[in-house]
Amino acid sequence: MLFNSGIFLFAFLPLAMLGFALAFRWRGLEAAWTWLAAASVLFYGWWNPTHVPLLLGSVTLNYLLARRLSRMQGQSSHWLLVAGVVINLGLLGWFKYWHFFASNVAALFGQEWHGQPLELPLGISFFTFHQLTYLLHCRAGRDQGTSFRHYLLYVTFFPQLIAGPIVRPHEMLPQLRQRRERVFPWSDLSVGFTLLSLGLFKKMVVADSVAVWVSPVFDHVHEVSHVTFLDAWAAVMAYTLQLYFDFSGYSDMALGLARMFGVDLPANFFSPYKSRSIVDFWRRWHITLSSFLRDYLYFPLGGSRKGPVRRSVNLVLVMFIGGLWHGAGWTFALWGLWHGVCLLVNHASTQAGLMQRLPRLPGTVLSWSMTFLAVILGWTLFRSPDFVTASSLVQSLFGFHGFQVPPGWLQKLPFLSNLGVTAHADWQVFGGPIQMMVLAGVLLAAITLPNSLQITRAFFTPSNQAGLPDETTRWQWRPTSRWALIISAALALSLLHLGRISEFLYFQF
Amino acid sequence: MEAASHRRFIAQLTLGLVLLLTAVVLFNRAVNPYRLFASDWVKTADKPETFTHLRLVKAMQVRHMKPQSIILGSSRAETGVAPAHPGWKFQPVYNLGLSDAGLYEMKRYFDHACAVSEIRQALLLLDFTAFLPGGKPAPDFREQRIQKLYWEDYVLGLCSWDAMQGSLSTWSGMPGQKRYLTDGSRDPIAEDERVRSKGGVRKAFEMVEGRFTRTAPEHMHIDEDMKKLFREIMATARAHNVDLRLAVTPVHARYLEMLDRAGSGALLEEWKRVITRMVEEEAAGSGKPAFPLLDFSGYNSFTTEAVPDTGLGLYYLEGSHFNKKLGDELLNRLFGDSATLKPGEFGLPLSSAQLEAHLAAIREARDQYRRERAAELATLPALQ
Repeated sequence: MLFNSGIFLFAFLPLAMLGFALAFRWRGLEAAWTWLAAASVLFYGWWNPTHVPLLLGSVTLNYLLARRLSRMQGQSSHWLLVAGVVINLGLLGWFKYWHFFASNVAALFGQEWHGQPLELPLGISFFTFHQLTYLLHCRAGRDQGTSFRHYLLYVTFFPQLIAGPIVRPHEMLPQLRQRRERVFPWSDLSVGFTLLSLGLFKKMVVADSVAVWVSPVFDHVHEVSHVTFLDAWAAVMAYTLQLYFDFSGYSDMALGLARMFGVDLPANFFSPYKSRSIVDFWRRWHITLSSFLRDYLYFPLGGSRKGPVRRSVNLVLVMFIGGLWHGAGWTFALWGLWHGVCLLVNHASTQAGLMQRLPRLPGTVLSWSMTFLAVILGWTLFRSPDFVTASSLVQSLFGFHGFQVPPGWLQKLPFLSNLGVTAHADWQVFGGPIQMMVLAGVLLAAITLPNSLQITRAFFTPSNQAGLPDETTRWQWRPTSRWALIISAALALSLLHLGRISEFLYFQF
Repeated sequence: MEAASHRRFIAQLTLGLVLLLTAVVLFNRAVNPYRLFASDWVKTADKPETFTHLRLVKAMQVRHMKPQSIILGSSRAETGVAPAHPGWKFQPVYNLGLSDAGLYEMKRYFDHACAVSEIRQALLLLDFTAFLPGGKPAPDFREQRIQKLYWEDYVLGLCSWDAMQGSLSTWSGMPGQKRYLTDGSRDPIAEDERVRSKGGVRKAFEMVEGRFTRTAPEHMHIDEDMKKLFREIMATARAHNVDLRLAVTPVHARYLEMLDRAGSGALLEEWKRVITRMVEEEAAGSGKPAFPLLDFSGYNSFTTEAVPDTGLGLYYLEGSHFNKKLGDELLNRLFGDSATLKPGEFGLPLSSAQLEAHLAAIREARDQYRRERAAELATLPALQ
């Protein structure tokens, strides 16, 4: 059941809200949370019911471990925590990495691995991280006697269960304990609907529209001698935009849906393509993952406290693991390494003050361009099924396979022939000036328009607001007629795209 | 106060949403781009999105028109066989040919037509590739819309961005990928224009022949599932008292040559034996006269038409698609007297009694064609 499907929008969500309201009215808030947890488990089971026992078993075991951890002190709690971490990572490793590990070890010894990869339980990467943070939260003595009902909801809450954001216990559990007078305050509904509508629009209207230009190139590189220059750029730019609007649209939907039930989740995106450095990019892209890796991996490894060499190693190692978290494949690992190296270059350049020496405007343009280029090269690696595809595409992007244009362009601009540009008619995805304008327009929107969090800032405060860039906009959402018209148009356009159901890219991670 | 403004916002948002979606539904209903409804509120010259929603449009048109005669087959039936031919006994006639359709889709659309209308006469244009394994229904085929109204068709045809785009292109008179007449057949003028835009009929022939070089010849066989579907089509016709006529499609001799080079020549003969036997078995089983099965494939003045270097051909759009002129010749034979024809001739009724003589005559004609057109055939692409 996808957020952008009819069954979710017209059946699950209304029934979940109705049940929540009735439970609140008859039995109070705790009963309403129980209903919501049950609805969330149903939401999860809709995908594959056989994975529900795994989810519930993992939740129960972790809750029992956490309760014990809360009561214990000293060395014994340390070993219990280690056991909890090993169990959780072991489960994740078994489902997600066993096949990858075994096939690589077999290859190392010149053998062939005949095993098949296991079916990955949806959202396992996310609910594993949720539970790890809860164990650490309890070990630190910060838990206030969370009930199983609240814990179950914390892990399974349907807006964030499948693809995040990764929520820390202190960001959600206190909200479940707050008393409320109305089951659905009007402000929660209006802000929630607004975020949901903006998310649906980003996913269904923008991301899915540019998605058609991605697969024909990325999945068929082996079938052509080489991808042409314009096909490569069209596909890579389309994927860069698809991934952002898909994942940030999903995150907006998650925030909006949670807000409807009175829960504010942490933000996951803050206009990442506006970044002027890779460091800045990781403050804006998948924020809850990067802060998780920072707090639970980079800092424990020593962070920057143990000298520049150790800091560099830590950074690259953390990004490498972050890459592997996205998928059991070497392209993901290399993508992580690429970002690790880019971060090192970024730190070195900042220390040397390279950009500060340039005048403001050229400096801004250059730093944005270099950052964006590094990001899209990373996405090329990230989306490619193998290194050969990625390498071929990168070569095409930089013209190593020549520069080709439609024959009509050469007739209008004959000097191009003198520059070695050749005519080409059989394009994979390149669609001429209209497609170029669409891609440019969508990119322009991503780098100039305010994001959903900036727009709704007066009424919505994500639980990680303090860590977000302090950038405001004049376009402030208010419950006015004008905004009602804008949001209803966005929602109407999204609903008109309902027939074209497509999965969210981040579900696979 | 603040709660009131949020409540008003929700009400305005809901109202805006309802109004916008209603406007979209009304616009799509008025333009009716996929012929969901029998009548249009706004007159438009053409339905350019027919080809992109062919399975939907034809399922609905059969429902609206309630034809008594239908034409079944693939795109060859759509381009070549005209419902306007005077030989059809029962009116109205609808061309229910479906581009890229296999036997399963043909059977299901035949079932559909019989369920929503009283079908009394039908032509099934047979193509031997439809009997090979591996055929799948087209992506826009929906089992649910066969025989009954399918709610999703109405949702997608009235309240979707796809329908909105379809209505806008229909309303603004944009040309579609392929143009259809209201009787379900392709517009012959637009088809000729399409061939011209490809660079003429020779280029179109070469394009089709080039496909043989891109697909490696495989060991093929007549699929048992397809034979079962063919039997079911005949059973449906028998159950509804439909005057079913079967015709082997008249592909061009160059196309036959490419089939032969791809190793399918013997299989084509075997297929003719199989369908002849099946038709006779069905007749014996039902105790009724066999459905007429006429063979239009072979080497004759039509199928060996010389392919001009430029412009259009007389009978063919390319090697496997013939035009209305040849389609009319086919229908003349189908509805006229074909009993006096000799083995090897265009439109010979197939029967086990003279099948081998017919196949031998075709082989002989093929050898003669190869001798006489050696220079032309030398230009055909070589296969690996």
